[in-house]
Amino acid sequence: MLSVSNTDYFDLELTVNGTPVRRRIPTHLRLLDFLREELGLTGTKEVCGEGECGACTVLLDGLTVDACLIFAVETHGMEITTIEGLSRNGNLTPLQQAFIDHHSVQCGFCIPGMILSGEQMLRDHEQLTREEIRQDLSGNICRCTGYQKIVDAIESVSRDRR
Amino acid sequence: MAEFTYHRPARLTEAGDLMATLPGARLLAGGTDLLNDLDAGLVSAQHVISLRDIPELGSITERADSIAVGAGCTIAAIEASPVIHKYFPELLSVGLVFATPQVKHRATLGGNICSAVACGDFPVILTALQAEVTLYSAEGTRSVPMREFPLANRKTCRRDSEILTEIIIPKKPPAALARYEKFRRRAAGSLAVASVAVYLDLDGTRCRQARIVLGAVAPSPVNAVEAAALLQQKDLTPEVIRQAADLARKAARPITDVRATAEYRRELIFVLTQRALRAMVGYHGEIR
Amino acid sequence: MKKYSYIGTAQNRIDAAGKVTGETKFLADLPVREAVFAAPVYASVPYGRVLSVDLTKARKYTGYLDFISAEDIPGVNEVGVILQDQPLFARPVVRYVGDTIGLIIADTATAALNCARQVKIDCEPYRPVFTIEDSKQMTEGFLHDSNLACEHRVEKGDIARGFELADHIIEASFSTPAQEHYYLEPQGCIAVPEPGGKISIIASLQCPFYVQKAVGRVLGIPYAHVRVEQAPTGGAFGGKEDVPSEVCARAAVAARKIGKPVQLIYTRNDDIQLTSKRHPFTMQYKVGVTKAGKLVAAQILLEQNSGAYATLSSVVSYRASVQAMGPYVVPNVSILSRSYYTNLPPNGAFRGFGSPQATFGHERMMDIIARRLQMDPVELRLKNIIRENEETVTGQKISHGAGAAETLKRARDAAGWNSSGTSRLSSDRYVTALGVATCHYGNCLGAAGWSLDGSAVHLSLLRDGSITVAFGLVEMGQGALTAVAQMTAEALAVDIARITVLPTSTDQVPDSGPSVASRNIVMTGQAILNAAQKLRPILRTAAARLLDCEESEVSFAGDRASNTLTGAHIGFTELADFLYLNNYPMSTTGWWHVPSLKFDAAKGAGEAYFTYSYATHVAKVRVDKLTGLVKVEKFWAAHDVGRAVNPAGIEGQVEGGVTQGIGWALTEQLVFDEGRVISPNLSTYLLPTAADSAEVDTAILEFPEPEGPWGARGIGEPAIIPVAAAIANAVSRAVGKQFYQLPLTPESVLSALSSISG
Repeated sequence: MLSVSNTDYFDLELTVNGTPVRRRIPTHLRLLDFLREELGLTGTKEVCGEGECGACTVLLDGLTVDACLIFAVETHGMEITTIEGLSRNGNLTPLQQAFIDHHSVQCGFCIPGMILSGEQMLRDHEQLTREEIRQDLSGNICRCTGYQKIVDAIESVSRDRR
Repeated sequence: MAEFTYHRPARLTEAGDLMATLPGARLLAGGTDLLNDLDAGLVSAQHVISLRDIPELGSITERADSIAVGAGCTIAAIEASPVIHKYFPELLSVGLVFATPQVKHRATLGGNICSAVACGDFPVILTALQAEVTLYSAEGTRSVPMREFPLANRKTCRRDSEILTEIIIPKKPPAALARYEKFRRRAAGSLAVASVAVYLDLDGTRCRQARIVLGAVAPSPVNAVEAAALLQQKDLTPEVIRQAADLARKAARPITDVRATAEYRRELIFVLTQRALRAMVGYHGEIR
Repeated sequence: MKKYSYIGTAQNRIDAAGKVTGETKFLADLPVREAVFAAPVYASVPYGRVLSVDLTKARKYTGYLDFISAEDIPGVNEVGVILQDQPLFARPVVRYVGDTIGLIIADTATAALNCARQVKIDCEPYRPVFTIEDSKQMTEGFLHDSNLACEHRVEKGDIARGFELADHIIEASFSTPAQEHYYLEPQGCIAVPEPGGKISIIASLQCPFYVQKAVGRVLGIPYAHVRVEQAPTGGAFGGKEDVPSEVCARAAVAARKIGKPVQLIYTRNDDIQLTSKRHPFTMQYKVGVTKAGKLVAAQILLEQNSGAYATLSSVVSYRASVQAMGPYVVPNVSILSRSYYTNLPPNGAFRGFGSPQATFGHERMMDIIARRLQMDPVELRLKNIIRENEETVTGQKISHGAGAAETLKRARDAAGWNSSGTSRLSSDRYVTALGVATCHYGNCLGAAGWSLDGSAVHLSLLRDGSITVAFGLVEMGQGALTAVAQMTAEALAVDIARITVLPTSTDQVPDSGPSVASRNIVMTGQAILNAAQKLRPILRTAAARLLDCEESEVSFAGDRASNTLTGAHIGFTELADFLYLNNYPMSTTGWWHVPSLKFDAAKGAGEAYFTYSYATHVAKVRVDKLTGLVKVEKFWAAHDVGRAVNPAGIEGQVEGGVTQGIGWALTEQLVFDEGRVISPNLSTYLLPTAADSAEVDTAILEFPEPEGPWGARGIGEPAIIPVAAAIANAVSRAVGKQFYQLPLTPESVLSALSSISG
């Protein structure tokens, strides 16, 4: 069993974007703040701060989660992928490229979360209908695009790989 | 958010010991409610006990006449479980209308039950399914029927020292089925304005046994006993269904808030009850 | 139609790569050295007089540094954008919950917020007013000199005579609610003190020159000493028009006093409580029409809830008044528009700027009239729609307006519109119907804002043939950067890859007015053409020397200059190098202002705006007959944009506008209790999700505007203007009962259904 008192710091070890990370953190630090402030991974955005908008979506052991609703200490030993971890050496993923090609981006504040939700969707489903994409995107709020071109991008990747 | 002492026991007994020695400690499962509540100042915590590493909380097991769902199972894990698909497809339909994909990856069944917010989804269907919850503490375990577990909005009969460990759902008779109808303002990620869970054991269109449970129309789920009793041993004609729906409406005790008026919620209960029953019996279409 | 290299082609956004990788740094992502952090301290009563501010508890908090308030302002304590009615730091009178009294400064953002919560403000409460009606009834204790913030009139023809000519006189009242912008990125800025009493601001904003002026005034320093740079901005929708002036000026006062960079970023709750919304409107329409369906008279009263300060109320009221009868010809008109102060957060700019409200009025009215005349709603509109050489209600002759009728026809045909009633399909649970709405939108600032309606660009050619463009308006998500690059490449006949569009900063270009009123394409486009026109003779002279020919023989196309006689050519890179080596001037500023407008403000007569965009939307809705829940199933949108610069960007604007309009029409409800927002989060203020928004079929129509660059007009706001009206018209047709109010809550729809069946 592990106990860390509130006056102490917790030695967090985890893998972020494929790289092992070790940091001393206070117990009440949210994963979102850990990523943004401790690791400087500012692609993960805060909008509502209460798990309604999905702007802070990251993959935790491969599953989309809202980083604003998780204490960083809870992710000890786990693997996290943020938007910064998708493209390697400047190579965009097919979905990132599709967001550019399908004009899916406007102000861009929701986009990192949208792309991570899209990546998980594409991994989980062989094929996706527009209706399924819309349902599965329902945890990510966008105020600019009306979602249509975001759905287009995800649908195109799903279709192209068949 | 204030600092706290963080505990992460690896065994249930350790967690039980902590709960016994640290009154006021908060249990942390998925955290989707706790982080918001701490942030909003609705609760405070000097000690937080994480349930993350306790293996038995995360399993779904089939027993002779029931299914035991670990309280730490996430909603997404329940949706993915073959056992649930086989025995309780109605829980999948609850998952479909529950929160967002991100929240479903973290939120646990035990958490949804223990948070006991008036508009919660799973307590309603689990009450209709006559589930029981198991509470563990250093002193021992006890079982509480789901219908008795929530006491009021955000209040349950769980004692401070107790941990909800599993939810036991009795297998249904072969001809029985259940259904959850939820009304919400938006197509996704939206709380219930009103909801209804119906359990029916049918012999053709004749009802052997029925239970009707109402959500978001009282501080905790309402067992619409009279509405269900009306159906018992009857042929479920459209008229009988309408009468039962009317009794369900009378059993609701809603309030007016930012989401809807009490009046409208009562009307929704009538519509949703009828909608559920008609679909279960196999009537086409809808009537008022 | 002339074929262009870049105008009219769907270009990928030049800012997309940084946004899909997370590399784009928004304000909160920027590292700031040695910064301190601010949090607002504001009134918790809707109306009252501050007696004391007690900092005892806040001062004890770890990290507390200072409290900034009215006494710390070196210049004027005034930040009103049009009327001088809004203090930067309220004292002693506070007029809404959120009226900012001061800023707590602390060494972390969290500490600043915690300290701010510890400040105790003792207030003598006054009796507040929250509704237009209560504000009008007030006899003493006005919010300002009077409770009337502004009024506008439009008078045309003889209204009494007009009604005498009418076979039917139809009256109806409507009301529309507030709307929260909910731009995903909250308001925020960093104010950095610079040597010599100067200051730099970087902020999430729409109008850098508004901020420059506000900061200069409150600090009492020349505008030239204030440098304002726009950070990549995560949505604005009008919400970052005037509000950043407050946010930045407060941070500037703090930075000046403390001598360190100050970061002020609103929390989401504060953002919703403190900042502007869409004006709620009440509207009374009385319209006279002949049997044949010709509009002959319209008497209209529009009243707006201005909230605690006027902010942009006067120009919202102006726009609503001149657009109140939509793109229809009405010979006799009397329109009065008034805005009243209340103790709510100030209502201000929000995409459409009074137009979605007025369009709800005139388009609901058209459907109600059509029903009375038993005429198809599209047919009634086509009978009255403005055509070339006809006059608007302000008596402005439209010389290029053929697009209005065409948008109606295009949307009608695309949607498979049938005459009223027959498009109503029903099952026993659902009833489905189509609804139509048409609108016009006066481009740019119009007669009421003409003095601000000029914009600039600065083009620089570099020695290697690359080109920078600085413009005075901003990218806030709408695609400005890409459109500016396209227009520059087109104007100079060069490869778009040469173009780099610089972040907007006040020290790059002259004051270009605000990035509002869908004006970027028109204003910046014309300024680019102006700059290109100035550079072209220089390029021509140089090219003629290089090609050894007459200047008249040089032509520019396809990234090179050619000798039209011989076909000999040189690339643009070579040309640029030659310019450099021969000391030709390689940069210039382009400028354009809106042609002067003749307008009599007292009568509301004349040229209200220099040109108008037109749009028609058709909504298909499905109503659950037993719960009243409305689902929008599909939208058809036809927009006359003059000329499309980036068609993909236009579609994006329309799809986004439709979704934002769906939210306003159906689910977004700001609920106040004694001036405090009690729906301050996304579980109570319901934005449309991907599952709620509808697929939009966008048709782009091009009837070029002679005064627009390449014929273009604005699109940003027309995208949202007809949406709610189209939905309400569809629901009214589905249910068989007229709806007069937004939002169309399931409860209100069900109650209408019950009143019919019961």
